Amino acid sequence: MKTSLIFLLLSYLSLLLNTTSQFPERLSFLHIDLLPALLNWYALNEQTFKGAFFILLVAAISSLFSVLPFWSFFISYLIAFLIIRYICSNVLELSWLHIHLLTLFSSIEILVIEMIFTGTPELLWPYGMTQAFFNLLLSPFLFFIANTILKFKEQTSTSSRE
Amino acid sequence: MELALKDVNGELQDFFSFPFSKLNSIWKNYLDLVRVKQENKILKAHLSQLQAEITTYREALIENGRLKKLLQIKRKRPEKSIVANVVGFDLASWRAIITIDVGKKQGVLKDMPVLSQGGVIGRVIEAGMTHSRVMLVTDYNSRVAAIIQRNRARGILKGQGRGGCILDYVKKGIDAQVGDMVITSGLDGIYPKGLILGKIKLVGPGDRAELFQSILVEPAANMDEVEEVLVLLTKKEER
Repeated sequence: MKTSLIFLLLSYLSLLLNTTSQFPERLSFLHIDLLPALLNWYALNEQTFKGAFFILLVAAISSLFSVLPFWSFFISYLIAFLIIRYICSNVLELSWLHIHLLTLFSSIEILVIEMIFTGTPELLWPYGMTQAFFNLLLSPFLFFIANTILKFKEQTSTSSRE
Repeated sequence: MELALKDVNGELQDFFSFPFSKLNSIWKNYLDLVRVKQENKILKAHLSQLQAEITTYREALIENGRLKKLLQIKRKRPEKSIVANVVGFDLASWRAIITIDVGKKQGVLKDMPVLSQGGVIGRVIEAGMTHSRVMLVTDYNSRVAAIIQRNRARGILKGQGRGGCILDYVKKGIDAQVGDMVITSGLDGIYPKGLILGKIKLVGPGDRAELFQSILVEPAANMDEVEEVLVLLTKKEER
Protein backbone atom coordinates (compact mmCIF):
# COMPACT_ATOMS: atom_id res chain seq x y z
CA MET A 1 0.00 0.00 0.00
CA LYS A 2 2.86 2.34 0.87
CA THR A 3 4.36 1.90 -2.59
CA SER A 4 1.02 2.66 -4.20
CA LEU A 5 0.47 5.79 -2.13
CA ILE A 6 3.96 7.03 -2.95
CA PHE A 7 3.23 6.28 -6.61
CA LEU A 8 -0.03 8.29 -6.46
CA LEU A 9 1.56 11.24 -4.69
CA LEU A 10 4.62 11.41 -6.93
CA SER A 11 2.45 10.97 -10.03
CA TYR A 12 0.39 13.98 -9.09
CA LEU A 13 3.48 16.08 -8.39
CA SER A 14 5.02 14.90 -11.65
CA LEU A 15 1.88 15.88 -13.59
CA LEU A 16 1.92 19.33 -11.99
CA LEU A 17 5.59 19.75 -12.88
CA ASN A 18 5.02 18.51 -16.42
CA THR A 19 2.17 20.90 -17.15
CA THR A 20 3.68 24.02 -15.62
CA SER A 21 7.38 23.87 -16.45
CA GLN A 22 8.74 25.00 -19.77
CA PHE A 23 12.24 25.06 -21.17
CA PRO A 24 13.61 28.07 -23.07
CA GLU A 25 12.55 28.66 -26.69
CA ARG A 26 14.57 26.10 -28.65
CA LEU A 27 13.96 23.33 -26.14
CA SER A 28 10.36 24.27 -25.41
CA PHE A 29 9.13 21.02 -26.95
CA LEU A 30 10.74 19.11 -24.06
CA HIS A 31 8.91 18.68 -20.79
CA ILE A 32 9.95 17.30 -17.41
CA ASP A 33 7.95 14.09 -17.65
CA LEU A 34 8.71 11.85 -14.69
CA LEU A 35 5.68 9.62 -15.12
CA PRO A 36 7.24 6.89 -17.34
CA ALA A 37 10.09 6.49 -14.84
CA LEU A 38 7.58 6.44 -12.01
CA LEU A 39 5.51 3.78 -13.78
CA ASN A 40 8.65 1.76 -14.25
CA TRP A 41 9.57 2.10 -10.56
CA TYR A 42 6.03 1.15 -9.56
CA ALA A 43 5.94 -1.90 -11.82
CA LEU A 44 9.20 -3.09 -10.28
CA ASN A 45 7.84 -2.68 -6.75
CA GLU A 46 4.17 -3.67 -6.86
CA GLN A 47 1.98 -6.70 -7.56
CA THR A 48 0.14 -6.88 -10.86
CA PHE A 49 -3.53 -6.69 -9.82
CA LYS A 50 -3.16 -4.13 -7.09
CA GLY A 51 -0.90 -2.14 -9.37
CA ALA A 52 -3.45 -2.15 -12.21
CA PHE A 53 -6.01 -0.52 -9.95
CA PHE A 54 -3.68 2.33 -9.05
CA ILE A 55 -2.72 2.72 -12.71
CA LEU A 56 -6.42 3.32 -13.33
CA LEU A 57 -6.43 6.06 -10.70
CA VAL A 58 -3.32 7.74 -12.11
CA ALA A 59 -4.81 7.59 -15.61
CA ALA A 60 -7.92 9.34 -14.27
CA ILE A 61 -5.76 12.04 -12.65
CA SER A 62 -3.73 12.43 -15.86
CA SER A 63 -6.87 13.02 -17.91
CA LEU A 64 -7.60 16.05 -15.70
CA PHE A 65 -4.44 17.66 -17.07
CA SER A 66 -5.18 17.05 -20.72
CA VAL A 67 -7.73 17.18 -23.49
CA LEU A 68 -6.85 13.59 -24.36
CA PRO A 69 -9.44 10.98 -23.32
CA PHE A 70 -9.02 8.99 -20.12
CA TRP A 71 -8.73 5.73 -22.08
CA SER A 72 -5.64 6.88 -23.94
CA PHE A 73 -3.83 7.31 -20.62
CA PHE A 74 -5.20 4.14 -19.08
CA ILE A 75 -4.31 1.93 -22.06
CA SER A 76 -0.83 3.39 -22.49
CA TYR A 77 0.04 3.23 -18.78
CA LEU A 78 -1.42 -0.23 -18.29
CA ILE A 79 0.43 -1.74 -21.25
CA ALA A 80 3.73 -0.28 -20.01
CA PHE A 81 3.03 -1.53 -16.49
CA LEU A 82 2.07 -5.06 -17.57
CA ILE A 83 5.04 -5.47 -19.90
CA ILE A 84 7.47 -4.35 -17.20
CA ARG A 85 5.77 -6.75 -14.73
CA TYR A 86 6.13 -9.54 -17.30
CA ILE A 87 9.81 -8.74 -17.80
CA CYS A 88 10.35 -8.66 -14.01
CA SER A 89 8.77 -12.06 -13.50
CA ASN A 90 10.78 -13.66 -16.33
CA VAL A 91 14.19 -12.09 -15.93
CA LEU A 92 16.18 -13.27 -12.92
CA GLU A 93 18.02 -10.09 -12.21
CA LEU A 94 17.75 -6.69 -13.83
CA SER A 95 20.89 -4.58 -13.87
CA TRP A 96 20.89 -0.83 -13.17
CA LEU A 97 21.11 -0.10 -16.88
CA HIS A 98 18.28 -2.50 -17.76
CA ILE A 99 16.00 -0.88 -15.20
CA HIS A 100 16.50 2.58 -16.68
CA LEU A 101 16.25 1.30 -20.25
CA LEU A 102 12.79 0.12 -19.28
CA THR A 103 11.94 3.79 -18.66
CA LEU A 104 12.99 4.54 -22.23
CA PHE A 105 10.80 1.71 -23.45
CA SER A 106 7.75 2.79 -21.42
CA SER A 107 8.22 6.43 -22.56
CA ILE A 108 8.17 5.41 -26.21
CA GLU A 109 5.20 3.11 -25.69
CA ILE A 110 3.17 5.79 -23.86
CA LEU A 111 4.02 8.44 -26.46
CA VAL A 112 3.13 6.17 -29.37
CA ILE A 113 -0.30 5.32 -27.98
CA GLU A 114 -1.12 8.89 -26.99
CA MET A 115 0.09 10.27 -30.32
CA ILE A 116 -2.11 7.76 -32.12
CA PHE A 117 -5.04 9.00 -30.05
CA THR A 118 -4.29 12.61 -31.10
CA GLY A 119 -3.86 11.58 -34.74
CA THR A 120 -0.22 12.63 -34.94
CA PRO A 121 1.91 9.45 -34.74
CA GLU A 122 4.41 10.97 -37.19
CA LEU A 123 5.64 13.19 -34.34
CA LEU A 124 7.37 10.24 -32.73
CA TRP A 125 10.47 11.20 -34.68
CA PRO A 126 12.22 13.42 -33.73
CA TYR A 127 10.01 14.87 -30.98
CA GLY A 128 8.87 11.70 -29.24
CA MET A 129 12.27 10.01 -29.28
CA THR A 130 14.01 13.13 -27.90
CA GLN A 131 11.47 13.29 -25.09
CA ALA A 132 11.91 9.56 -24.39
CA PHE A 133 15.70 9.91 -24.12
CA PHE A 134 15.23 12.93 -21.87
CA ASN A 135 12.96 10.80 -19.67
CA LEU A 136 15.72 8.18 -19.56
CA LEU A 137 18.10 10.84 -18.19
CA LEU A 138 15.58 11.75 -15.49
CA SER A 139 14.95 8.13 -14.54
CA PRO A 140 17.83 7.61 -12.01
CA PHE A 141 16.88 10.85 -10.29
CA LEU A 142 13.25 9.72 -9.94
CA PHE A 143 14.27 6.27 -8.72
CA PHE A 144 16.47 7.89 -6.09
CA ILE A 145 13.61 10.07 -4.82
CA ALA A 146 11.02 7.26 -4.83
CA ASN A 147 13.36 4.78 -3.13
CA THR A 148 14.36 7.33 -0.50
CA ILE A 149 10.71 8.08 0.34
CA LEU A 150 9.91 4.35 0.44
CA LYS A 151 12.87 3.67 2.74
CA PHE A 152 11.90 6.55 5.01
CA LYS A 153 8.31 5.30 5.18
CA GLU A 154 9.43 1.78 6.02
CA GLN A 155 11.82 3.02 8.72
CA THR A 156 9.16 5.18 10.35
CA SER A 157 6.60 2.36 10.31
CA THR A 158 9.04 -0.19 11.88
CA SER A 159 10.11 2.29 14.55
CA SER A 160 6.47 3.05 15.40
CA ARG A 161 5.74 -0.71 15.65
CA GLU A 162 8.69 -1.14 18.02
CA MET B 1 77.37 59.53 29.61
CA GLU B 2 73.82 59.34 30.90
CA LEU B 3 72.51 60.68 27.64
CA ALA B 4 74.50 58.13 25.70
CA LEU B 5 73.08 55.34 27.86
CA LYS B 6 69.60 56.72 27.30
CA ASP B 7 70.20 56.67 23.57
CA VAL B 8 71.31 53.03 23.70
CA ASN B 9 68.30 52.25 25.85
CA GLY B 10 66.07 54.00 23.33
CA GLU B 11 67.60 51.94 20.48
CA LEU B 12 66.99 48.73 22.45
CA GLN B 13 63.44 49.80 23.22
CA ASP B 14 62.95 50.51 19.56
CA PHE B 15 64.35 47.08 18.68
CA PHE B 16 62.14 45.26 21.19
CA SER B 17 59.02 47.26 20.44
CA PHE B 18 59.25 46.44 16.69
CA PRO B 19 57.77 42.89 16.92
CA PHE B 20 55.09 44.09 19.34
CA SER B 21 54.06 46.98 17.10
CA LYS B 22 54.04 44.55 14.14
CA LEU B 23 51.90 42.10 16.10
CA ASN B 24 49.64 44.95 17.10
CA SER B 25 49.16 46.05 13.50
CA ILE B 26 48.53 42.44 12.41
CA TRP B 27 45.90 42.09 15.12
CA LYS B 28 44.33 45.39 14.08
CA ASN B 29 44.29 44.27 10.46
CA TYR B 30 42.72 41.00 11.52
CA LEU B 31 39.99 42.83 13.45
CA ASP B 32 39.44 45.11 10.46
CA LEU B 33 39.14 42.06 8.22
CA VAL B 34 36.58 40.49 10.54
CA ARG B 35 34.60 43.73 10.51
CA VAL B 36 34.89 43.99 6.73
CA LYS B 37 33.75 40.40 6.41
CA GLN B 38 30.69 41.11 8.52
CA GLU B 39 29.99 44.30 6.58
CA ASN B 40 30.44 42.39 3.34
CA LYS B 41 27.92 39.83 4.48
CA ILE B 42 25.38 42.52 5.34
CA LEU B 43 26.01 44.38 2.08
CA LYS B 44 25.66 41.18 0.08
CA ALA B 45 22.33 40.51 1.75
CA HIS B 46 21.26 44.08 0.92
CA LEU B 47 22.42 43.65 -2.64
CA SER B 48 20.50 40.45 -3.19
CA GLN B 49 17.42 42.07 -1.65
CA LEU B 50 17.79 45.06 -3.98
CA GLN B 51 18.34 42.77 -6.94
CA ALA B 52 15.16 40.91 -6.08
CA GLU B 53 13.31 44.22 -5.85
CA ILE B 54 14.74 45.38 -9.19
CA THR B 55 13.65 42.08 -10.79
CA THR B 56 10.15 42.54 -9.37
CA TYR B 57 9.93 46.12 -10.67
CA ARG B 58 11.33 45.12 -14.05
CA GLU B 59 8.84 42.24 -14.25
CA ALA B 60 6.00 44.62 -13.35
CA LEU B 61 7.19 47.05 -16.04
CA ILE B 62 7.29 44.33 -18.71
CA GLU B 63 3.88 43.02 -17.62
CA ASN B 64 2.54 46.55 -17.74
CA GLY B 65 3.75 46.89 -21.34
CA ARG B 66 2.09 43.63 -22.35
CA LEU B 67 -1.17 44.53 -20.62
CA LYS B 68 -1.17 47.99 -22.25
CA LYS B 69 -0.95 46.34 -25.67
CA LEU B 70 -3.79 43.97 -24.75
CA LEU B 71 -5.82 46.94 -23.53
CA GLN B 72 -5.34 48.66 -26.89
CA ILE B 73 -6.77 45.59 -28.64
CA LYS B 74 -9.57 45.41 -26.08
CA ARG B 75 -10.53 49.04 -26.79
CA LYS B 76 -10.50 48.50 -30.54
CA ARG B 77 -12.74 45.43 -30.46
CA PRO B 78 -16.50 45.94 -30.33
CA GLU B 79 -17.06 42.66 -28.42
CA LYS B 80 -16.74 42.30 -24.68
CA SER B 81 -13.48 40.69 -23.66
CA ILE B 82 -11.61 39.47 -20.62
CA VAL B 83 -7.88 39.28 -19.83
CA ALA B 84 -6.56 35.92 -18.62
CA ASN B 85 -3.22 34.51 -17.51
CA VAL B 86 -1.66 31.39 -18.97
CA VAL B 87 -1.30 28.95 -16.08
CA GLY B 88 -0.29 25.69 -17.71
CA PHE B 89 0.15 23.46 -20.72
CA ASP B 90 -1.43 20.22 -21.81
CA LEU B 91 0.00 16.94 -20.59
CA ALA B 92 0.33 15.85 -24.21
CA SER B 93 3.15 18.32 -24.74
CA TRP B 94 3.24 17.90 -28.52
CA ARG B 95 -0.24 19.45 -28.62
CA ALA B 96 -0.29 23.25 -28.65
CA ILE B 97 -2.85 23.61 -25.88
CA ILE B 98 -2.67 25.99 -22.94
CA THR B 99 -4.70 26.43 -19.77
CA ILE B 100 -5.95 29.91 -18.83
CA ASP B 101 -7.34 31.10 -15.50
CA VAL B 102 -10.84 32.14 -16.61
CA GLY B 103 -13.90 29.95 -17.18
CA LYS B 104 -17.67 29.88 -17.32
CA LYS B 105 -17.85 31.98 -14.15
CA GLN B 106 -16.30 34.86 -16.08
CA GLY B 107 -18.49 34.21 -19.13
CA VAL B 108 -16.02 32.14 -21.15
CA LEU B 109 -17.58 29.49 -23.39
CA LYS B 110 -16.36 26.92 -25.89
CA ASP B 111 -15.19 28.26 -29.27
CA MET B 112 -14.52 31.79 -28.09
CA PRO B 113 -11.53 33.36 -29.87
CA VAL B 114 -8.40 34.10 -27.88
CA LEU B 115 -5.98 36.89 -28.79
CA SER B 116 -2.59 38.08 -27.61
CA GLN B 117 -0.73 41.32 -28.27
CA GLY B 118 0.23 40.18 -31.77
CA GLY B 119 -3.08 38.77 -32.96
CA VAL B 120 -5.10 35.56 -32.81
CA ILE B 121 -3.54 32.75 -30.82
CA GLY B 122 -6.38 30.22 -30.73
CA ARG B 123 -9.82 29.35 -29.44
CA VAL B 124 -11.35 27.92 -26.29
CA ILE B 125 -11.95 24.19 -26.69
CA GLU B 126 -12.95 23.35 -23.13
CA ALA B 127 -14.44 25.75 -20.60
CA GLY B 128 -14.51 24.77 -16.94
CA MET B 129 -15.95 26.91 -14.15
CA THR B 130 -12.72 28.73 -13.34
CA HIS B 131 -10.23 27.53 -15.96
CA SER B 132 -10.37 26.87 -19.70
CA ARG B 133 -8.29 25.12 -22.31
CA VAL B 134 -7.22 26.97 -25.42
CA MET B 135 -6.12 25.26 -28.63
CA LEU B 136 -3.48 27.43 -30.28
CA VAL B 137 -3.52 28.04 -34.03
CA THR B 138 -0.23 26.13 -34.27
CA ASP B 139 -1.82 22.89 -33.00
CA TYR B 140 -1.94 20.08 -35.54
CA ASN B 141 -5.73 19.88 -35.19
CA SER B 142 -6.33 23.62 -35.58
CA ARG B 143 -8.08 24.96 -38.70
CA VAL B 144 -8.93 28.63 -39.22
CA ALA B 145 -10.72 30.19 -42.21
CA ALA B 146 -8.29 32.83 -43.46
CA ILE B 147 -7.70 35.33 -46.24
CA ILE B 148 -4.61 37.07 -47.53
CA GLN B 149 -5.24 40.71 -46.68
CA ARG B 150 -3.71 42.20 -49.86
CA ASN B 151 -5.56 40.21 -52.51
CA ARG B 152 -8.42 38.66 -50.47
CA ALA B 153 -7.45 35.13 -51.54
CA ARG B 154 -9.16 32.57 -49.31
CA GLY B 155 -7.54 29.61 -47.63
CA ILE B 156 -7.49 27.48 -44.51
CA LEU B 157 -4.79 28.07 -41.92
CA LYS B 158 -3.59 24.73 -40.56
CA GLY B 159 -1.41 24.30 -37.49
CA GLN B 160 2.00 22.69 -37.92
CA GLY B 161 3.21 22.49 -34.32
CA ARG B 162 6.60 24.09 -33.85
CA GLY B 163 6.82 24.76 -37.57
CA GLY B 164 4.15 27.48 -37.39
CA CYS B 165 1.17 27.22 -39.76
CA ILE B 166 0.46 26.58 -43.41
CA LEU B 167 -2.12 28.38 -45.49
CA ASP B 168 -3.78 25.65 -47.49
CA TYR B 169 -6.21 25.67 -50.41
CA VAL B 170 -4.85 28.84 -52.02
CA LYS B 171 -5.05 28.16 -55.75
CA LYS B 172 -1.94 28.19 -57.89
CA GLY B 173 -1.72 31.39 -59.89
CA ILE B 174 -2.93 33.57 -57.05
CA ASP B 175 -0.28 36.12 -56.19
CA ALA B 176 0.83 35.38 -52.65
CA GLN B 177 4.01 37.13 -51.52
CA VAL B 178 6.33 36.80 -48.57
CA GLY B 179 5.33 39.39 -45.96
CA ASP B 180 1.62 39.45 -46.89
CA MET B 181 -0.63 39.61 -43.85
CA VAL B 182 -3.00 36.70 -43.26
CA ILE B 183 -6.21 37.58 -41.42
CA THR B 184 -9.35 35.72 -40.35
CA SER B 185 -12.13 35.61 -42.93
CA GLY B 186 -14.93 35.02 -40.42
CA LEU B 187 -16.32 32.17 -42.52
CA ASP B 188 -15.70 29.51 -39.87
CA GLY B 189 -18.20 31.10 -37.50
CA ILE B 190 -15.63 31.09 -34.70
CA TYR B 191 -13.24 33.97 -35.32
CA PRO B 192 -14.61 37.42 -36.18
CA LYS B 193 -13.46 38.79 -39.54
CA GLY B 194 -10.25 40.81 -39.78
CA LEU B 195 -8.18 39.50 -36.88
CA ILE B 196 -4.46 39.17 -37.60
CA LEU B 197 -3.28 35.56 -37.87
CA GLY B 198 0.25 36.06 -39.12
CA LYS B 199 2.56 36.88 -41.99
CA ILE B 200 3.49 34.77 -45.01
CA LYS B 201 7.00 33.50 -44.43
CA LEU B 202 7.53 31.30 -47.46
CA VAL B 203 5.69 30.62 -50.71
CA GLY B 204 6.64 27.31 -52.23
CA PRO B 205 5.89 26.20 -55.75
CA GLY B 206 4.01 23.16 -54.47
CA ASP B 207 3.73 19.88 -56.31
CA ARG B 208 2.97 20.03 -60.04
CA ALA B 209 0.09 17.68 -59.60
CA GLU B 210 -1.32 19.77 -56.79
CA LEU B 211 -3.87 22.48 -57.40
CA PHE B 212 -2.82 24.63 -54.47
CA GLN B 213 0.23 26.54 -53.38
CA SER B 214 2.19 25.63 -50.26
CA ILE B 215 2.35 28.75 -48.12
CA LEU B 216 4.11 28.85 -44.78
CA VAL B 217 2.74 31.38 -42.30
CA GLU B 218 4.50 32.75 -39.24
CA PRO B 219 1.92 33.25 -36.47
CA ALA B 220 1.45 36.81 -35.26
CA ALA B 221 2.24 35.88 -31.69
CA ASN B 222 5.15 33.85 -30.35
CA MET B 223 3.25 30.95 -28.83
CA ASP B 224 6.09 30.03 -26.47
CA GLU B 225 6.11 33.46 -24.86
CA VAL B 226 2.40 34.07 -24.37
CA GLU B 227 1.69 34.95 -20.73
CA GLU B 228 -1.50 37.02 -20.86
CA VAL B 229 -4.31 36.59 -23.35
CA LEU B 230 -7.55 38.31 -24.25
CA VAL B 231 -10.65 36.15 -24.60
CA LEU B 232 -13.32 37.70 -26.84
CA LEU B 233 -16.67 36.99 -25.19
CA THR B 234 -18.49 36.71 -28.50
CA LYS B 235 -21.92 35.16 -28.82
CA LYS B 236 -22.32 32.60 -31.58
CA GLU B 237 -24.66 34.82 -33.58
CA GLU B 238 -22.17 37.73 -33.38
CA ARG B 239 -19.40 35.77 -35.07
